[in-house]
Amino acid sequence: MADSRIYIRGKAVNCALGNDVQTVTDSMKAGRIQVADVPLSLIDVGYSRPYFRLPRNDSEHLHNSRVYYYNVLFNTIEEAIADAGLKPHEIRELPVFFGSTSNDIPIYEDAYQTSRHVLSQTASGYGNIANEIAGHFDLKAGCYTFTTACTSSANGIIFAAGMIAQGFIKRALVVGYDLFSNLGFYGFEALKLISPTPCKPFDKNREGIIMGEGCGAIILDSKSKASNDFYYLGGANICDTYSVTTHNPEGGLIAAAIHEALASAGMGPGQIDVVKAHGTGSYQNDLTEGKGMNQAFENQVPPLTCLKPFIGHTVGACGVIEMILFTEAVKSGFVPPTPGFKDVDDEINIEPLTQPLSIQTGTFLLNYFGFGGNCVSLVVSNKPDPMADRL
Amino acid sequence: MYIHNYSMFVSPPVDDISFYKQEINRYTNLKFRRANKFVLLSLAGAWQCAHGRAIQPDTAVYLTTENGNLGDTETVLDQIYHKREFPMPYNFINTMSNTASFYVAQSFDIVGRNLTFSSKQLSFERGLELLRSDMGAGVVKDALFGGVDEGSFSKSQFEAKYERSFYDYHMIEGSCWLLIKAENTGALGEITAVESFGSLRPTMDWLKRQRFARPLILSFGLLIDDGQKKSFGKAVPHEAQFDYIHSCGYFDSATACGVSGFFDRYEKACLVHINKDFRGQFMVVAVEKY
Repeated sequence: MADSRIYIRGKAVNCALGNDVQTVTDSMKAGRIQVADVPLSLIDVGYSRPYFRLPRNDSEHLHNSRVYYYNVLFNTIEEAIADAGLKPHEIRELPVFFGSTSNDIPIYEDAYQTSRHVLSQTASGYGNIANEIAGHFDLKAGCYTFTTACTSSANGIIFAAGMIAQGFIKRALVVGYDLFSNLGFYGFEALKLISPTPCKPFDKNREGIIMGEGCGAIILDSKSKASNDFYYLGGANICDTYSVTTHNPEGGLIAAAIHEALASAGMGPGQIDVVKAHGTGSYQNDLTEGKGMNQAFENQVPPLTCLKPFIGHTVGACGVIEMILFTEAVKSGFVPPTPGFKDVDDEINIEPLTQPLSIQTGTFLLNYFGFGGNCVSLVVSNKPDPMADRL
Repeated sequence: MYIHNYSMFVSPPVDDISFYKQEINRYTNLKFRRANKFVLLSLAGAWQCAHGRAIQPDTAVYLTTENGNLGDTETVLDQIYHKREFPMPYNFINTMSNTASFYVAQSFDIVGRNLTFSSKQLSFERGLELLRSDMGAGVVKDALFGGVDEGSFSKSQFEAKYERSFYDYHMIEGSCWLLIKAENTGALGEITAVESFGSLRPTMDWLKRQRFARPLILSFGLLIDDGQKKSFGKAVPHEAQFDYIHSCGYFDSATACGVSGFFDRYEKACLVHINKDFRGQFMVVAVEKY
């Protein structure tokens, strides 16, 4: 099938729910959540914090963090390419769009146990990981690395789709990847953002975020593979200059990002069936996102869910990972509820789903926000005719 | 893509950040108390570029960089691993290099697309590809487009990475920006080509087919070796070579300096800049100054 749409032709994911799409979807459906307790042992504080870890052999990781880092990355990409059913020449022509917050810091951290200035003496720059991907898979096209904090891989999707739409490239590999790093874990704890209790976005008793690690890879292509493949309809990236750490409390720029994404998709607010919120569970994010959504949807926000209670906040990787989790759940016939949500916060007035929603096709808004004022919203659909009325 | 202004803020590496604050204060009274060196370096170049120009509220920011903010990342890792304490919040936040593109946007109060972007040895060129796509789609009309990197190389690091003698280069750091618009009225020049090739042969073939404006100035990125320079020189008749790396110094976003330096030095000419990465990918950027 070929038309002007940009399809998610292939995908693969490795996150705390599992390392294949079927397991991850089944786990969401069953509400199976596994969160580890990670002590802050580098600092003598005597407590731990929850973290969504990948299932792994820790001893192997400790002995060779570089091998582990690239094994997770390459295995996920290999599965996405296989899932897309690309021919060898199509693989060689793939450009790489890579988004991450921590980049390859997890590789270098072990050396800091005994050394200093390791990064500045040996690091190869932000663009190195995408180059490693290209080298490993013998890809001959360009490499593009996005470092916009929690919106990094969501921006990778926007720019890859934009270049396909403009005819500069035919298809793209988009990767979101963040592994556990002490820099991120201790950094977010220093900001008092990590919740000691389960993450419950938009709940009035929310206590913060829980971090997670994961890798997601998608192949965007102007050709679909299956009739129910999702396609990208539009997206927006705008900058809320209120503060480097928080968005404007009134949510105006978040509403603007949603409006711009809808406009680029040729949609109105009434044509969105479900929203996947960024939904970190932090006081400020949920407040500003909730206010922004209420503005954008004129207080009639569609059914809404949050995925971070399943896998944690995978920071720069969440753009691709949460897109895969959400779209694969819909293809399986449901939108998962938001685990942990109980009580509406009257200050926000957002009530996520508490039960699964049966749905197999629709048009959906995906939100991503981050430090540095970055606001990204995407619109995706798997409806044969996205302009048809809401389900 | 029309170039309406340019900046070329380069200097030998300076540890005292008041140096950058003084440069910024030439253009604005805004204070950046929590900004680190990378942020201030970015701001200095961006403000120099915007000086005397009206910056529209929907202007986008594309900050291209090879290394981003290494300084605060080192500080935070030192705080965690050696001082055994939590990182200071603003040190941690500044480990995310997009704080620099944020502060550029905040200082001009602009809400357009905001991107911190990298592509090994080709960050500036690949960033231009993204901007071209955005301008083609009509989602960006005006953009502040910069190449920013601190000068962080030791001799051993530089020589291991590039297999070139450290002493053949003058190491600098820089923040070189272009104000690029879709509108041509009042432009100083334009970007006429941004092309990518998988190897030397198609690059050469493409260059031979072009009819660039004259006089033509050729320039090369760091990884283009002497033999390749000779071959390109033969393939592309030119009036002069602009060796900006030796006249200005080297930092990892030096291509940005090459384009700004061309605007600074030449009148009514065309620059053809050829660059290459470690994978053997070639990119050509052609720029005309009216």
